[in-house]
Amino acid sequence: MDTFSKRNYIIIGIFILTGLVFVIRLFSIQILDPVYKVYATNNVLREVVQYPARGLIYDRNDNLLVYNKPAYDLMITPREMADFDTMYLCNLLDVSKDEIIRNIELAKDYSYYKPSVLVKQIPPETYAILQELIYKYNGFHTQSRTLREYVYSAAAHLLGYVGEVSREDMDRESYYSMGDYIGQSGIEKTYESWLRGKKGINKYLVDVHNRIKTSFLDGEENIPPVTGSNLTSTLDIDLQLYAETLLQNKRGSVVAIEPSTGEILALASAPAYHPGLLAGRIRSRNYSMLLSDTLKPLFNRALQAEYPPGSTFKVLNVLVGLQVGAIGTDTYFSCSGPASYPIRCTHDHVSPLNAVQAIRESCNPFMWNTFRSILYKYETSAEGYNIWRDHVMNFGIGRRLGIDINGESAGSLPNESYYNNIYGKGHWNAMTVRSLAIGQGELGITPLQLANYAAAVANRGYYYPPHVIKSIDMGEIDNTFRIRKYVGISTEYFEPAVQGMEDAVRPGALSHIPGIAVCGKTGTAENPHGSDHSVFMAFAPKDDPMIAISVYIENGVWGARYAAPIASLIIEKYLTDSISDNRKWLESRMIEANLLNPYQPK
Amino acid sequence: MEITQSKIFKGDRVLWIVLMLLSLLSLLIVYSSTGALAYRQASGNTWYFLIRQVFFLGAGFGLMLVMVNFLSVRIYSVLANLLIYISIGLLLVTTILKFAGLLQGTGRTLDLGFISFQPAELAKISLIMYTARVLGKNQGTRGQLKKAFIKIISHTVVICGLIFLSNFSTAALLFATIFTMMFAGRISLKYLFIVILLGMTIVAGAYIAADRFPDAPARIHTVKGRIDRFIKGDPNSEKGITQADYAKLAIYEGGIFGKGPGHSNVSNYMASAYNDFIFAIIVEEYGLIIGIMVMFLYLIFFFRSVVIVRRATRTFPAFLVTGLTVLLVYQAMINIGVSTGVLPVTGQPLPWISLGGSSLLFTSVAFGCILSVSYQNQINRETQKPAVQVNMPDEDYEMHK
Ligand SMILES: [Zn+2]
Repeated sequence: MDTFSKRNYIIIGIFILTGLVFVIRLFSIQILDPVYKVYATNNVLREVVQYPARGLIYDRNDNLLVYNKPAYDLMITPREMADFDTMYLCNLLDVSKDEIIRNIELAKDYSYYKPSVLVKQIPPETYAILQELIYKYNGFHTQSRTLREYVYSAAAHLLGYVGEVSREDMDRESYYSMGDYIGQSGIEKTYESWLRGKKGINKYLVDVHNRIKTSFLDGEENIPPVTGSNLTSTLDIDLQLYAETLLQNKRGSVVAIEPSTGEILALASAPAYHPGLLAGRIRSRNYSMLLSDTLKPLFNRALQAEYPPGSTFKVLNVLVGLQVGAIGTDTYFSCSGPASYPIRCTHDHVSPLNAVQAIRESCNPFMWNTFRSILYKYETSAEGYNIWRDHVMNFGIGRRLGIDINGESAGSLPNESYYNNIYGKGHWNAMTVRSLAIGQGELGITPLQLANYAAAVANRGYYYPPHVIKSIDMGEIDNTFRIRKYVGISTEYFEPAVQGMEDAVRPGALSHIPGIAVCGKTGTAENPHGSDHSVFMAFAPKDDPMIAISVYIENGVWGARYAAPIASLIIEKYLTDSISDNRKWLESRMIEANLLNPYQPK
Repeated sequence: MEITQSKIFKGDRVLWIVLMLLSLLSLLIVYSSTGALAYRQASGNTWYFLIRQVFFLGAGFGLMLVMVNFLSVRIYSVLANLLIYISIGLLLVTTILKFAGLLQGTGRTLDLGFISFQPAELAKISLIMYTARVLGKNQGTRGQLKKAFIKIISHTVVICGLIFLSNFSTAALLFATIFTMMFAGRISLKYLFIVILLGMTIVAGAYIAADRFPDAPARIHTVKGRIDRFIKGDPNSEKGITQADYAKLAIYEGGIFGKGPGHSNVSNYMASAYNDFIFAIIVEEYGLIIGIMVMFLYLIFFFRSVVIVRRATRTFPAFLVTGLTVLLVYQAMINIGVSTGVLPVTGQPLPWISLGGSSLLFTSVAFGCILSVSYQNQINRETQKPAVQVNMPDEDYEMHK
């Protein structure tokens, strides 16, 4: 047709010309361009990932807690692999033949030409022998890794552990690839992005025998790994060790906070385990062992256990009563002892009594009257309850405090609708929920929340969110840890409460430390599954608080029996660095006590 | 060239053979790439991509067979007017969704729930059909040609402009295709020069705008970056080997006969080895000879299309085949050019070979159109020997009057 004009021949010409240009270009790349001769075809470019050393973790006094030790992974590249002496390798590396065969199959499934891990985390001693043999085995090479190593057998829950990344981790963050390690819990998890550093890459040319011939382009393309940042923990490792010693053969927890900063000084959960159990090749075996242990060592009681606060809660009820004007410092309520209604009082004391005396004596009728006055001060019980509940919540109870380690539980502080559902709206009042007055009932509070509440009382009205990291090399900790949280109670109302707490730790009590003004409150948490739990919260010294503490001892029967003496020993240790001679007997009695049987004599 | 007519594979038999050879190569390449790709994208399911490619190739062949056997070429002339406005609508929707932040990713793909595809793929074919129709109807006088030019250029600017917002290279490719069609369609050289000048001004404007206004749309910065890299060299090349370098390494290492299927090492270091640089991997695994043969397959396709155009008795089919062929061959040229380092790095697949999704189906629609025209030619030759020289204006024009 005539539309097939001269112009079409121009188009055809251009296409043919382009084709010619491409052919010439292909030949020139293959024959003329000298650059690519550098990569001789026999040499294979191998990228070896350089794993950075993970950041170290120190305690607040610069004692090293966590460091790294070298380990090696044996890698295979299936395409380069030749037959080898399987039995010898199995014996040397202490792995079964089945495992080797299975891993080789997995490696082939993954890729023929990319290296996969055959045996993980070979210790340095074995590596030395392996290194001398490896050139005999085609397709094998090693890469160096690091494993976590712990100086002290302590703070396992808090430090956490590292493990291999999961598929979800890899999907979430492209930084990770198969076989990388990632913090799985505790500080290792929260501060993963600081601790991990940055992987590097070394490029090598290897010959047909898999021997590294040269560095690729003289190493110009290598990317050196960046070591992870070191962390300084708020922990006092001596105090932590001491707390864990006191907790041995018991179930329970100790949380100690520096009130002026919110820094966690000790966070112990018993039973505990050696942190090294969850590092290296033995990790998965040990993990399932710990998981099946009936004493639940993996359960971090300090953050996750919810107990009724018991009488320790009475200080808070008095504070709320004073703040809303339901009671005054001059308010007296009478107590008829065991004949009191609706809550009996088992303590033998003066009557009538005021707030200071009531806290000292832990008087139930006083607390009932205070609680009732708070709720009846408002138009409806529900309104009064909500105001009471807001005040309680301000202390960090019934919600997460946002500590920088995972697994924190919110505890339980029922809201209005919870009672509406049970009793019907308008059909419940202070009487119905009276057990809240003495810290029983539906309340659930974690040891961390109890310690934080003690810190807020110590500070007379505010706290810093509790945290476990003090500083990061070349980094900053989260600013929220540096902002005061006010609990909404005037400073003046803390005086009677603190006075009551000081009086409660009177000379003669096991928790009394001569020369140190300890303010504390015992509690007994009802336990339907065995003997009641022993609870104590305290801070000291009274006028310049250095430490706030909560101690829970499961099945410890009375607060004064175990929790209070243990707390006083920890306070004494922290403030004076030793235990005075006339309290040594108490120390050994606490260490030796074995409460693993949930039924203890009253 | 006398070729006997098949019962089902109607149309140019050489073209069918070219497509089957390309399919074979496609499966081989996809199979050898499964190790790397499947692991990265489909959780180690090594057969996933092969099965997927077989499915799409099969669907493509099915589509072409349906078009050749059941659809008349005239339908496309009628459809052209409808499809072009659907395309503009879909491109607008995608663009709006993208800027409203409702689309994830690059903003190129529209997900309709049951199917997701790139509106640009539909726009490419509909704009070519539209251009072929307008050119076909207005071959008579200078005045008609001017009218055709105005119609074509206005639609092209809208569509290419919308595509440009998410994909520069596709917009440029389509623009070049339409430009070539207008060149073949006897549009005055004066107008075409004006278009070239305007185009250069826009690209230069975008380049300068990227400097002046750091807040300008990201796409403009991408364009500037690519131009800079091609002219001044990749700033990354000081830190590490670029993908373009690896592509050349792959071609070098392939040698005359290649390393054999599945034995590409270089692809391990390239993120888009199996899309933008697939030609380089073909040379690495199958060697220079096969690489040149792949190029020849596209050239054979091109020359068969030239024959089809020459034999076409009407103007619309002739321009349609010209446009679709030019589009696909340009696309192939871009991929080969990028792989060999002749062109700046940009993402155009190798038609019919690269890992395909819905885009492969659009490619098969293009081939289906070309095959339909060649089948039409064969029928015409049988029924009206000798070929009738048709006077302008042609039948299509009258048909729609
Ligand atoms: Zn009493």
